[in-house]
Amino acid sequence: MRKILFFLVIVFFSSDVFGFEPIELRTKKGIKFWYVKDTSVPIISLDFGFLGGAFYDLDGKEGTSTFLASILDEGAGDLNSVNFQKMMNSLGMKLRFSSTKDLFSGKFQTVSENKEKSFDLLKLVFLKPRFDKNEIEKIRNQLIASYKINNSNISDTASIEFYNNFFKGHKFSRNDDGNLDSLRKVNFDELNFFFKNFVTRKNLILSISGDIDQDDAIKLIDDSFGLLPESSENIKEIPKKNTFESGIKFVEKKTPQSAVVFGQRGLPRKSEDFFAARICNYVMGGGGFQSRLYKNIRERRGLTYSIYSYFISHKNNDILLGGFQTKNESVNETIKLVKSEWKKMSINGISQEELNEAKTYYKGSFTRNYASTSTISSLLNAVQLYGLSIDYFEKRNKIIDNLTLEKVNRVAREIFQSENLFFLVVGNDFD
Amino acid sequence: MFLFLFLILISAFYCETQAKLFDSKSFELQNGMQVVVVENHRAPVVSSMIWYNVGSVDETYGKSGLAHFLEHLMFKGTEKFKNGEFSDFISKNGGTENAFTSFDYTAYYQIIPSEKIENILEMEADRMKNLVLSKKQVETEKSVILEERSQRIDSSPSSVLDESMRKSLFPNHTYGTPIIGWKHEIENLTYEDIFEFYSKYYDPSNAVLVLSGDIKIKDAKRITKKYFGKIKSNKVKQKRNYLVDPPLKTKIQINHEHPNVEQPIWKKLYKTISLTESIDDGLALDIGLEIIAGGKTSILYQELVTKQKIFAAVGGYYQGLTKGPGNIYFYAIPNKNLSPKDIDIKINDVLKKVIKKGISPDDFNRKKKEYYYNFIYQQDGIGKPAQIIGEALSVGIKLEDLENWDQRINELSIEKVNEALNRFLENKNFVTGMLK
Repeated sequence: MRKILFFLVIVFFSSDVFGFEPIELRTKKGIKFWYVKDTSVPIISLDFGFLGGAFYDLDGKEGTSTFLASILDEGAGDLNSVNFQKMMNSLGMKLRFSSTKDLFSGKFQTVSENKEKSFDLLKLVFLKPRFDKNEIEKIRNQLIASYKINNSNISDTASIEFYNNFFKGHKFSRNDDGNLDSLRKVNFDELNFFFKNFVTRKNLILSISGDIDQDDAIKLIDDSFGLLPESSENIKEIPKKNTFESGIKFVEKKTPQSAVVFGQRGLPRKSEDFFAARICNYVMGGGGFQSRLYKNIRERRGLTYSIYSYFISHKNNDILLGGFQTKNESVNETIKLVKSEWKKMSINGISQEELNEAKTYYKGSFTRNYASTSTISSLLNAVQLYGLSIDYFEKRNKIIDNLTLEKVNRVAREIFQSENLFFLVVGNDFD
Repeated sequence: MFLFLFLILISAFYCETQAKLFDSKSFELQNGMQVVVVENHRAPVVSSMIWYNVGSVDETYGKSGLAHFLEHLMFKGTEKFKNGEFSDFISKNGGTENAFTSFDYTAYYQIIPSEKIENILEMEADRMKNLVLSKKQVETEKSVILEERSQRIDSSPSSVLDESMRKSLFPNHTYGTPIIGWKHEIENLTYEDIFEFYSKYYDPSNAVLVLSGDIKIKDAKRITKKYFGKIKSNKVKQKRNYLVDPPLKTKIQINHEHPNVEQPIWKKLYKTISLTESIDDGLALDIGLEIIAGGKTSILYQELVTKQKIFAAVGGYYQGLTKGPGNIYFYAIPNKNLSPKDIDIKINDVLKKVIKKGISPDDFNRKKKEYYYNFIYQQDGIGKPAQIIGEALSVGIKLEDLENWDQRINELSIEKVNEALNRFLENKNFVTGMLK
């Protein structure tokens, strides 16, 4: 009997180890962040995001925020680019910035034995970034080369052209990476302006995970982020676009296969209906090899190698996006099939069995995020970015359990509207 | 129940080793299948990867793409688990899966909540020998693969160039054949070809299973014995003889011009020693090339991107995790119109100067430290250990050697690195390519 009890206790405790309990902390200077301690590897991962992104690039200077993201790790204070990079490498520190349409963000990682020195280096980036003339020219050459390389890739072109048309009249229509003309015009003034206005404590979102205790996290975050200016001026709210393009648009390129990107309006991550919509999309084109698009278009007909759809959150302008590539002569047939799946979804919704399986998928898949410090801090920051509260991790299973077939299929009817789909095709020899 | 467990533990297993980079534990089933376990209980998930010691390198001439074609078809079900059942099970339990084929190996993986690992291994074991296919499935999947080839290679001018460069560097060895296969040969692959290849190479004696994550060694032993242990082996030959290439006697420069290309890219591909031939020589070459050509701190980048401003980017790296010859890749993205010959000269001038002079102790020690920190990063998560161990074992590196990798790097001398770089400088087995 004692043995059995002992066994039960072990089982109980070992499942308890997996309790995932992020906590919200505040530094002395008032910076709020989410924190998960994890000492299984001597690594610290930190994710941070600033309100900003390509939306705020000035007209004619498109690509500024991407430029800034590329140049920020090219030296700071007295350290020029190569010395800065060498210093990072010798500390086991990683730092990279990126910019999307509505967010300027960064990821910092280091080994815990070098945490103080690494945070000092991060602080130097925020306090004394160097936009050396030589470095600006170097990054400009790289961005121009990268722009040209993307431009010769049919799938990148399809994505760029999709936004260009779908968001016509809105700044989200612009290529985040700028264009040949604008990239030639971005200089010290634009970079400095963007840095001063957007890399601030206003709207800063921060998450940390790994081998660091609370007091050290509070201190080191204060030391590095605490010196950033409190607020920025004149940040306009990103407007909501009311009407989107629909139908099909072809862009000619010499290629044996066409790349297609398609989409329609989505719904905000904070919406009460979001999870129901997400489940419908899991059945439609998400997840692994079980989706309807995968089974009907790839597996049954062999029309494509890959086909998918997913919700993508752009501030105030959330969309449902999908894509596939197929030989030029199969484009129209595949588009018809996608539209017909959309129609079926809006009329019949999903079945009880599909709902059950999607629910267990979402409940089971979440813990995959807990397997590394890097994925934990990314997850924490994503949840903060979507404006969800810290108890989301606890509530998530309940939100999923509470979804009824009626609700999910009501949302399916409202969201999936085949006549609203817009397809952007890059290819040639269209019939 | 306790007695049952005890019995399992003492039976059937032998050759247990324990080592340190990933602190993996390994055992072999009686049918010759190797199992490696990396315990990591931070999250209730397990990454399971099965690596078959067979890749495109094992295809006969005229049957290119067979290994990869079979990889696709392995998802089509068995008598016991019908088409889609395995994948549906993974999905509805929140898992993820996929597979990949390389020159030297074919691997299948799932990441799954740990409570479901037994089901996964049961299904993985079942499809090792019991695949069921219809001719129609083979033909439909062929269309998918032709679309895949079109997406990965034919729609991408850069990949078309790579394919051509590889074939020129390996005119005789099957490393010159694209993994996905030539289009006209894929079109002619048959149902019979698939099953012949499958029954020859899909065997416990030709597989390594790596389990990384929330699984205990004793459970791994119990489960693998139960499902994989009962599979009868037909003892696949591990070492195979591949055709050898003659040394290249002519200079090969390949140009690929395509109207979609806006940015010229220069590439150079070398044939060289592999880590399988010599871990120490391979590591010396790896670390030496990292110092000279790897990333933004490299000498080549500093000289040609930062100082001379000729290139937007330039670099090179070594890939030696191969059964046959390894490769060295170099690339450059010119800022201005430069001929391939001029690019080659610019790069060679720097390489010659640096290698003749020898690398500095500062650079050498910093790079060693970087490698040490990279090992730590590789332990963050469950995917990387399974990937690294599986790949290394598949090409013929011993687990013990892999686990002592950091020690090998520690003991590496600067002289050894300089020697490796000097040999590289003399290497005439290369092909250059220009995309424009």
